[in-house]
Amino acid sequence: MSRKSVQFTSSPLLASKTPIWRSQFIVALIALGFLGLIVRAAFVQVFENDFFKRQGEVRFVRHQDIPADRGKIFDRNGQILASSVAVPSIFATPDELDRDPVKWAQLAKLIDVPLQELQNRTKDEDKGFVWLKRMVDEPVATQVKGLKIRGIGIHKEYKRIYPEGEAVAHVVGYTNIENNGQDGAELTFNNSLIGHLGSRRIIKNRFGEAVEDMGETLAPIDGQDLQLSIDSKVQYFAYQKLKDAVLTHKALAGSVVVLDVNTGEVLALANYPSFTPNSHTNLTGAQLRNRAITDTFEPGSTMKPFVVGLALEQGIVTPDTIIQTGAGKLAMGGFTIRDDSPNGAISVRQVIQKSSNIGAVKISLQMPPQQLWGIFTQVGFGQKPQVPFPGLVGGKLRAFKTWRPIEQATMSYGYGLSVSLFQLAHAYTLFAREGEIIPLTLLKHDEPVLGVRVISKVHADDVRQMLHMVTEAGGTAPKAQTMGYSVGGKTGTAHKMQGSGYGNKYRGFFVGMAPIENPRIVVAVMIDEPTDGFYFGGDVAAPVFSQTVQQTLRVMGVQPDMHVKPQVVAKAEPESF
Amino acid sequence: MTRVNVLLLIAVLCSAFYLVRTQYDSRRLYTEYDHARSEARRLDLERERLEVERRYQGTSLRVEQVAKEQLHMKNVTPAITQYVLEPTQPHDVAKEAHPKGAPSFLSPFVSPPLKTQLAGAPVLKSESSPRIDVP
Repeated sequence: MSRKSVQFTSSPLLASKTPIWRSQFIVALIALGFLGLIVRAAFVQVFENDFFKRQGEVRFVRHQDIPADRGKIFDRNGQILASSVAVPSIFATPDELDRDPVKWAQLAKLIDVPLQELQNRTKDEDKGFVWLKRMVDEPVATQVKGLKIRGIGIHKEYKRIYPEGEAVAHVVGYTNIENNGQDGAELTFNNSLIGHLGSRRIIKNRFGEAVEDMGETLAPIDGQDLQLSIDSKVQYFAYQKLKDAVLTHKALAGSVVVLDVNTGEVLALANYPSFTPNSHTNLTGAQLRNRAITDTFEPGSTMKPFVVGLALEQGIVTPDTIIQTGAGKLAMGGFTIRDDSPNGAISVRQVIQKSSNIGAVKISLQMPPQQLWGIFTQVGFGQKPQVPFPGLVGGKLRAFKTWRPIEQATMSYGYGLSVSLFQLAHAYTLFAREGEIIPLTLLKHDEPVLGVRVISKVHADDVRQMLHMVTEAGGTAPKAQTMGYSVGGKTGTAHKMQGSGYGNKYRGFFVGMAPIENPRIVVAVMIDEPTDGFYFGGDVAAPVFSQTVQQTLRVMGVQPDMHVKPQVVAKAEPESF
Repeated sequence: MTRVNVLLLIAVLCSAFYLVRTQYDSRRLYTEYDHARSEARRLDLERERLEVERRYQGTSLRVEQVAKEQLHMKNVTPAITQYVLEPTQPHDVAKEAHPKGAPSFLSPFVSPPLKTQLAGAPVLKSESSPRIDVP
């Protein structure tokens, strides 16, 4: 039997004819099936593609924020005044928490939170996340990690650190726990300091590592750094000297402002009492208040140089004009204006040197109110200073049309209007800049600044000489003198308003400049309610001025303009070769 | 024809494996990159923390405390400061460095470019030296 005799291609089973519709039916069904698949595929991949893609990504793509750094704050020499550091915070996820009592007792002890409190906070198992303690020290966090409690984790947060502490607290301000500025420069420049969060979309593996970037990465924009005009050295000792004076004289408070005359920069601005910005809890308003710019007061005798300056400018008096101040009493409109001691007939120079109220009144009443109002306004009284900073006030200066003669008289020696210490220091740049008033800034600037002329150079120089006399023998503030540098300034001692009248509480001020021939700095000091028996500005505020000027000029590298007897006590050994 | 198909199949398989390999590499490298980046971030934060720490050690408050209490230094005053003018020309150095009444021990050892030179300051307080009262 050969192979060809067997027929493999036919089978008796297939001999019977099947109806053709059956195969056609099957083909149709399969075709329908494919059609269904095609439609579905089109539906998934074309029409509803976005929806499915999104749903897919939701299941494996994570959205992650990339933190941006808050800008640092520097002083004029690049020293850090405020910086953010990462500190660990401890959190719990109650739904997966291991509640081993032994470990929990250790944990409570480590983070210094009562055990009961911890248990209360994590009681609710529906919560996904609770803070146990925010911002702990690094070693504590390491120990907590060492306990290996399931459900307890560590998250890095940013904390603002202020190395200079309380000395510069009012200028720099502070931030809250969410890193938003609350006061001072931190608040004023918050928008440029904060920066912007970045974000990215990634795929993570089961170890929690990022394995793939899904695009749409947004780089974080770090906050801009800020450089203030403050010199931390000047600020430090101005604050220290102020603090010493406030404590010595048992005063309520005090402020000091130091300005650079060439550039209009604020070199120091300090207040006492102050606060520690690193832990700003339980603070009182008295500590938080930036008195130098938010508190206004009647400036007392510190107004007299402006009256005299204007009178010289108007040609009403010369520095040597004699003013009769009599026995130290002047009756006017039902009031009596008094000097501290009778001065008799004195020159205009001596009116300033001896701070004669009657002299100032007699000079001021020879001028129309409009002119006085004009100079007060030009030096910035009654207007909010044009410096970006929170809490600045303008003080009170009424429109000249409403002034009665007695008010014009009292204003000439500083009652009936109010100013802040910052405004007062600003106003005195008039004499330091030979008749110009300059704009001030809290940001580093370094370029000489242009001023606006208010009185002529020669008259400003005259007043400056008078201010120098104040600090010499026979003046009201010999205690303002400082070794090596000539100084000049004006004392002020003002009764404080109590209820509807003036009581026996005082404010003492001193505003001055140094070196007197070519002033580099203006320093203003205010001591509020000294209670140890001394209250004259020349006694309480002038010594702070003296010490501040001494140190500031030395830091600035200004050579002394007065002869000093050398007191070198250490003999250098000859160098051996 | 079959040979071409087999070749194509092999090519497709190679390409597929290569794709898998590349994807794996890409993810591995991305993970490494991410690790490196978070390490950089950590170091950056550490640097900032240390900078602040350094500043803490150098604040005026601390410098003054250490200088006064441990080193027994005193404040500098103009009375114990020797001011030296910055010389304009080299041959003026000697002249400029000798202002009237300058202590002679300074003369050969003054470094000219300094604008101010402190003489004997800060002064170490010792029992034998006369006391200076700093105002």
